[in-house]
Amino acid sequence: MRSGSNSINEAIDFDAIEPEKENIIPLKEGRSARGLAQALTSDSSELHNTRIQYERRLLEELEDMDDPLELFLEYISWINNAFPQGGTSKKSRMIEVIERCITYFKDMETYKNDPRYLKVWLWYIELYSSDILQECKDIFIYMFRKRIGAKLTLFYEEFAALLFHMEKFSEAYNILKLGVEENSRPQHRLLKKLNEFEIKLRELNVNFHENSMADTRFLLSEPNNFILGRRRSSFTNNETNSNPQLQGYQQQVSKHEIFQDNNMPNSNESENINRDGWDVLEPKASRRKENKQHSLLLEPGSNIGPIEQINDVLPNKRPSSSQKLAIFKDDLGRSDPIYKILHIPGKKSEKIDCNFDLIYPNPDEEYCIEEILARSRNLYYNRKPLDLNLTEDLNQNLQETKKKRKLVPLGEKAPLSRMKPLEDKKTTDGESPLVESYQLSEKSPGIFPQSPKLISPEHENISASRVDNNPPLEYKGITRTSILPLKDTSKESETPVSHSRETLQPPKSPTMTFFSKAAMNEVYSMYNQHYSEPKEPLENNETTNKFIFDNLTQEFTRQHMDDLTEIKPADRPIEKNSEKTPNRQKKETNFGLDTNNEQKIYPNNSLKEFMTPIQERTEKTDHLSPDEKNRNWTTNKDEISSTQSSPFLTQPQPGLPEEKKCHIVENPLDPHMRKQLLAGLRPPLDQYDTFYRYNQPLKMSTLLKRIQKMSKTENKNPIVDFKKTGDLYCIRTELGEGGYATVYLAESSTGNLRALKVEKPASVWEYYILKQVEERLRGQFVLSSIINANSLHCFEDESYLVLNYASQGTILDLINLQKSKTRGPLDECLCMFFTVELMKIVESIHRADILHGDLKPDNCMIRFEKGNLGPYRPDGSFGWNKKGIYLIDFGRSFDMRLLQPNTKFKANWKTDQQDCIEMRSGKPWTYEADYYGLAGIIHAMLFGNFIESVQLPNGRFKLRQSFKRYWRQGLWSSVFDVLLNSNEFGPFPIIDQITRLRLEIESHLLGEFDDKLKDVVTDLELELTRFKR
Amino acid sequence: MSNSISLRGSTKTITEFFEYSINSILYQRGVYPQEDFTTVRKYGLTLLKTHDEELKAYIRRILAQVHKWLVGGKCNKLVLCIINKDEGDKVEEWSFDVVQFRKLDQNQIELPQEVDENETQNQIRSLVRQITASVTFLPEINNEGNYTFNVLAYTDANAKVPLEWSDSDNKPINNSETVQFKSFHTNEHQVGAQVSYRY
Repeated sequence: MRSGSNSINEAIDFDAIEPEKENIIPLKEGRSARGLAQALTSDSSELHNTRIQYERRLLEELEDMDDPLELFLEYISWINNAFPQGGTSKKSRMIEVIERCITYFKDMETYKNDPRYLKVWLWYIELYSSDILQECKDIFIYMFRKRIGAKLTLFYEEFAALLFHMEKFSEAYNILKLGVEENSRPQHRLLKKLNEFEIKLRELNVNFHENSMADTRFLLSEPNNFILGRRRSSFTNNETNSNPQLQGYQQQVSKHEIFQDNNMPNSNESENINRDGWDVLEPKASRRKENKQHSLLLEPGSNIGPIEQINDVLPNKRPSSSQKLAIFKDDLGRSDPIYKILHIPGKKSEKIDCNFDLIYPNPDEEYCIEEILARSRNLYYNRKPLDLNLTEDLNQNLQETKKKRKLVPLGEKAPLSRMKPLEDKKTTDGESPLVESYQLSEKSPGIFPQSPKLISPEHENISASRVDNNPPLEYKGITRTSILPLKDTSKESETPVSHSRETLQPPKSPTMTFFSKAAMNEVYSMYNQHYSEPKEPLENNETTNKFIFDNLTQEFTRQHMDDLTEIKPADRPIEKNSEKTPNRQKKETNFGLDTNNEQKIYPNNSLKEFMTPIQERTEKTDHLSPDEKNRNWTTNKDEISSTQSSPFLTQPQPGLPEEKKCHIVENPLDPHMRKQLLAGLRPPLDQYDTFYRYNQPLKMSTLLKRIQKMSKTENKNPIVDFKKTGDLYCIRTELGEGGYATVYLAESSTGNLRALKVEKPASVWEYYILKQVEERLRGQFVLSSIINANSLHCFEDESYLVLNYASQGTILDLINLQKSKTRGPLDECLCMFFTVELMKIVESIHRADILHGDLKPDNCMIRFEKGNLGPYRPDGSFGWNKKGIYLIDFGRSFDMRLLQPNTKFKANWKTDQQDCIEMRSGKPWTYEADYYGLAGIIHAMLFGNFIESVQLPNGRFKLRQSFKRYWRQGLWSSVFDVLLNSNEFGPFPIIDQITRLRLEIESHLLGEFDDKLKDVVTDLELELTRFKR
Repeated sequence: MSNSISLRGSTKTITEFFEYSINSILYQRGVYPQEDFTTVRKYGLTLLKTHDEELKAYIRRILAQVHKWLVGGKCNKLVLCIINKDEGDKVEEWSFDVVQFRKLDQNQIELPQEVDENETQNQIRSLVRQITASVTFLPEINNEGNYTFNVLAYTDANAKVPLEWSDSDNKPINNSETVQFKSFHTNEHQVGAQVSYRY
């Protein structure tokens, strides 16, 4: 480019540069017009490639080069040419390169006085700090202390110029003098400068000689610079200034012997400068980190409502809300439970969630929990020796209760709700929790296999022995009556029912912390479960009715459980009233009914008949339970606190759409309704190719969760084994946790990565919806934009949905990535692209009568498959069908074909701003949810924050935020107008409207952005692959 | 007769343009200190003109001669060089080519159509704008006072040269780049501009 002769011949036409002239930053040394013209016409992928080349050379060649600085200079000058908008623009990433350069050479003696290197420094100062003089000065001081450019006149010139500009004339003068002392090169220029400077100062009438040496101390690092002497000189200076006020000040100073530095404005910083060890100049970004406005990242899953219908969890226990209010936790802080880790040689170390110091205050002393409790309340005065067994048992017990509390988000409601009174009691009364929990566990022998630990034989022995042999500990104020139920129940537990259970199954609740035989058995049992023939029910429904039989019972017990849990809220207050017997009786009658039903159904073995009885049966229980419930309602309403957010409390009538007048489903996520809908399916779900039902519980999800947590440190990967397909999945990591499901990344035995959505209790709904979508959209383009369900493994207690794994993150991740990068939202053309993709999906699923119901940025995974791109084509050609999104999470979806026409829903979960207006105001809704959700996604992409809408006086809704000046405002406002006011645009679904909008956006993309979009997407693809790692 | 009037009008326009462009180049390139310049409205733009009498007179004197040559059709190029005083070498070269249509060969049928006065003004305006915008790529000339300028006129061999003008050979700048600006037309002339700078 510097070959003079031929460039004279061909002049560059200024017209090529003129349109961009405002975007070109002038450089001191000028720019090559040729280079400029070239840079302005080159396209971004080319730039990208060149940059990668330079980066590679930096990595590979730098260490072996004779003059590594040259490579950096080349790189920097390339950036200068390629990004005429200047090094300060983010896109050029100049600052990174320069900072790398200056830190690389800062300790290399050979380069310290290389004028080229000094120029890089000066340029760095000019580019990034020129607006903050103090920062410039700091960098100069740093350089001085590192002796960078100490022998170069240029350094002193620049430094002095800066100080002069800051009106620190004497400092500037002294810097120049220092340069002379250092014999910097070229000396004559420096001397000339010094002379000029003296003249200038004289003109300005600045007395620079008087306090000549006073102001160099701020940068002198040599040991022979006696700081105290300097200070003294500055004192004397002040005295000669003879400012009366100051003198008074000085006197004060001497009186109290306190050094005041008010009259030396920069002595503070000079302190800092004089300190040794300022070795690293932090990069600009971290130097300025306090000034940076932190962009708030969007939080995923902020509207995970209590989707579980049978959930008693208090709303503030939901993960979303706890995330919002982050609580600072110190690992060793006192707020955490104190635990003890026991190391027994030859065994795994055990963690015991108990304060051992309290239990064993001295080596020869030990206390049980009750004793400790009593002691803490000053009620304890007689200590009896207890056997270790018991305390251990107590610990175990305590732990178990803890564990159960932890399980809450997973949805093991039944034990939890039962624990509730226990918790209350524990905190309020402080009376023996043991007793209470026993009593509770015995309430439902065999019904809740989740808590069988409590009724395990050894356990019973202990409790029995404790009751029999150990006289109750003496507590003040405790009455024997409270222990009576324990005796009572321990006898009761020896009913044949519980016994048969016990013999059949080992204790189930997985307790990994205790290395006991039982625990090992438990673990083994998970892998050695006997399972029924892995044959399709379709094949053998006539020959072997055993299988169907199993299915039936399973179906039944599940149903059964649900029934029980359904009555549960009512059950609890009764317990409180301590009318225990009638309640139990009631339950027993319930039982009786159920078993009757069961028997009734057994003889049926054709599939068709299998379906109907269940429907009948549920209907029956529904008839029964509302009765009972209503009764309970009326009596207990006052006792139920409003904090219990179980939908059953707010919506006591589980909605059966057929019964309602205007087809409003009050409780659209009701598992009963779903079950009922699914039961009526033809062909039934069990005939689906990839549907595998197991007749046993797996009890893996809690274990997974815990192992998952452990494996972060111990690198253990649990394996899930699906017997019916022979698939082994090795759980790699947790991908996400929703309101009621956890998604893991799993590697299949063939090495494919899959997402495993583990739901507890088992749910088949999402699988059904996904399969329906697949079926109804078969052969359509858009199917590739919807996550593919490989198979569903449905156990009695939990379900495993195997999904394709999308590795590139969600749109929410993308937005946050962008935010952390530029603090801005996504590029408009990218928003348009995703909008088009989303609209395509929404159109087609609505056409297939599927309502997604939970559209939000975190439910859209990015799908940028490998492949080259041409200019944008909405029809998918030029490789555009490989780019798009995956829509995931159909857990809140509806199949409108299963419902009567004109069915509407009412949300009974806690709504937030991402839910549609109708949902929030408690009005019935259908497709509005999806349109509003779509608007929410677009809003998040465009603005970088969650949607907020306001109602206009005429009743219509619009966005609270206004569009940016340079966006396609007309386009976006019409998009949002339709999506926010979807109910005004004709009967649902308004597919035509959406299509119209989509075509409009597509034409914009085609007309204005087809090449830009390509570049943006290509860049992003690289970024996302990096992001993944 | 009308021809000569039009010729005079045209050369006047060109000379005027030279005056303003030399002034703005001297200002922009920092050859003379900023304080020496004041703003004037010209061509619908705000331009800077020196009020240093000495400099003003010097430019006047040059342009008076250039004007004479132009009227006589003897001058075909005017070059403004910016020279570093220390090293004495040329840093930048602004050259203005003047083409007089009447002097073109007859076989070149490129007969200029009538150019409106306003059109000429517009063209000059965009040319001056380009000159102003050229700071985006031109190197910074620091140390003001360290530079001076020189005007060279390329004339026909038979042109009368006054005593104060001396012959010179224009050496090209080493390692230079050249940028071509827009041109403007009058009824009689076409004036193009370009800058060469060291890079």
